[in-house]
Amino acid sequence: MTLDILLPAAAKRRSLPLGDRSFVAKATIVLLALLLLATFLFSLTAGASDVSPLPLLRDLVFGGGEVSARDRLIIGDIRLPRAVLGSLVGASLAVSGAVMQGLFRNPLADPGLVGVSAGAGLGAIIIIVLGSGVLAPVIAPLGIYALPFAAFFGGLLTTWILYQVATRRGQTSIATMLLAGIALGALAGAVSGILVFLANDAQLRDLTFWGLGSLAGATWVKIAAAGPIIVAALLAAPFLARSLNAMALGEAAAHHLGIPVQRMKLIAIVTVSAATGASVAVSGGIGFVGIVVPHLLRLLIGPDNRYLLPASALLGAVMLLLADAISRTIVAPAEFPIGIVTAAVGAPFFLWILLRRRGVLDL
Amino acid sequence: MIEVEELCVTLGRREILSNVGFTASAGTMTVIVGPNGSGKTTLLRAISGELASTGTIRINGRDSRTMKAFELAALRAVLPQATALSFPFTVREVVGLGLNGASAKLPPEEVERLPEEALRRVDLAGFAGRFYQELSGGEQQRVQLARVLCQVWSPVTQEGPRWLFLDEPVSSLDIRHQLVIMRLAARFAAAGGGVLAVLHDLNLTAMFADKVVMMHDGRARAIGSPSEVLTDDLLEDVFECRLGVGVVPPGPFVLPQSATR
Repeated sequence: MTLDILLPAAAKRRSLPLGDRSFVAKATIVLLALLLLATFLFSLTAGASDVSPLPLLRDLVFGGGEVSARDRLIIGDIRLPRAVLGSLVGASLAVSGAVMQGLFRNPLADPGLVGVSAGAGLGAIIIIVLGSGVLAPVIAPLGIYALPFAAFFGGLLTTWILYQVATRRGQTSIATMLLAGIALGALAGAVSGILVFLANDAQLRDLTFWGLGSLAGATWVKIAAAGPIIVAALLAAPFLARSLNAMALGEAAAHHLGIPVQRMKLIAIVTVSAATGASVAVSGGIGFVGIVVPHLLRLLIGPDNRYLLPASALLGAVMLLLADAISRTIVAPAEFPIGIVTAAVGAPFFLWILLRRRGVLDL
Repeated sequence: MIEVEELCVTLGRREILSNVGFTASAGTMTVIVGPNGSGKTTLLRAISGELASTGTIRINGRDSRTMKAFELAALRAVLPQATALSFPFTVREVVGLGLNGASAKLPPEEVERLPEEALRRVDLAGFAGRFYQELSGGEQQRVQLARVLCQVWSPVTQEGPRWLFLDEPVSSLDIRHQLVIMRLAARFAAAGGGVLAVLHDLNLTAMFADKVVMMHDGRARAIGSPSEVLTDDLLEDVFECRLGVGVVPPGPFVLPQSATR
């Protein structure tokens, strides 16, 4: 198959060097940025209450006070933090997936599939259940940061164990990685189960809300807690792009190309754990974003991480905002857990891509 | 100049290389030969910094173990025996990875031009837009060579000569492309760079090598010019089969096997 069908006419006219997809990639990133802006504004309008953000924007820019205090509250304190958090979480899940796939050199690697999310979840559950009891003196100084940090360290520990188990003499075994991921996920699930068993009623309510995977609890406080970690991870990711590209040839070849492989792996693992941990802490387990988004983009712009990582961040944010809009409107005024939406939409879509483009994906 | 002294590599309890020492000069092609399992590839991997080893390895006078990955990458490029690629990169993107390193401070026109030029040199002009995984084994091997060439495009820089380390560069190539690639390596050496290659083909070795290092049981059994190393007795001793080394006499000759009637 040639790339002709993937190249838009505009790109052909510029007489690109053969096999160079960078123009398509850059154009895609610009389009995705615009799409994210549109989706973000749209998500401010979607919901049980019929409020439009446009008068509010006009109000902000030109003044005039057309907007009622109630609308201001709905947009400013409920929908805006939710859209911001949704964008951050979507971007972080998609980028985590892309980085992990590059690190493990496997398109199936995903924090959700290989137990990293479960490990992060365990960290979060420990804080929710034991935070007010045994661990109170330890986490008191951390305040609102205790939950995201615990999730981060849970994810970090899981990723580290996973890498140690699956990697021997610089070669990461994919089968071992997936199986070890399942085992670690099950172990984290079992310990989480014990803690849920020990939890009191109030804690159980917190756990249920959290575990369903939802952006419903989005507040500026949560954003203040998890946002900096996610933003730091998102900013760190592009610096890994060239190294991850070289890793596609294997660790030895990456070393020969001048990549400090060990240090780069460490940074990648910490980045993925931070992004996944913070996301899981604020939104629970939201699946499929990390695997569907990078996959789709690889089909469109190729696997070059210099473009794949930013494009994944943008498309991940778009997808999660749309999923959240669906979850808010489909059974309005009630809400559907977003994790169910991403799985229900993502899984069949993923299967469809696999069947349709089997030839390319096998490559 | 590459200087290797008392090089030892131990994997587990087994000593794979023991006390190997030789020098390779820039401007020449040094070929490592030997039977399967004699330590050829291990030797190349130890010199390229991929395997832990003891002893001395100096590249252009510098102890290679004290050099950072990016410093080494600016001095030498390594073609491995086989390379598996995990994502659907185009041929051009794979070759472009050779320009990936921190050493590549090239103007954008060069970044655009070099991959095409490197592909042309390995006889793959027009392949840039294909997916790497669609190619045959021999074509993939040549794409990797083009990538490696991009990494050390100029054979000589201000930091001295640069090096090509090639592990069986012609193992899956047809005879025409074997010659194309060996001539390419010879040209790199003629332009002042150094080539260190592992080869199985003793004929190509005799044809292209300036110096031969013959490995046997993890030791350098003989080092010298092809005519010094490729002798009946040494070959029998190392490869354990009786071979006759022939030399083409100068002037015309007629082979009786060429009779058709």
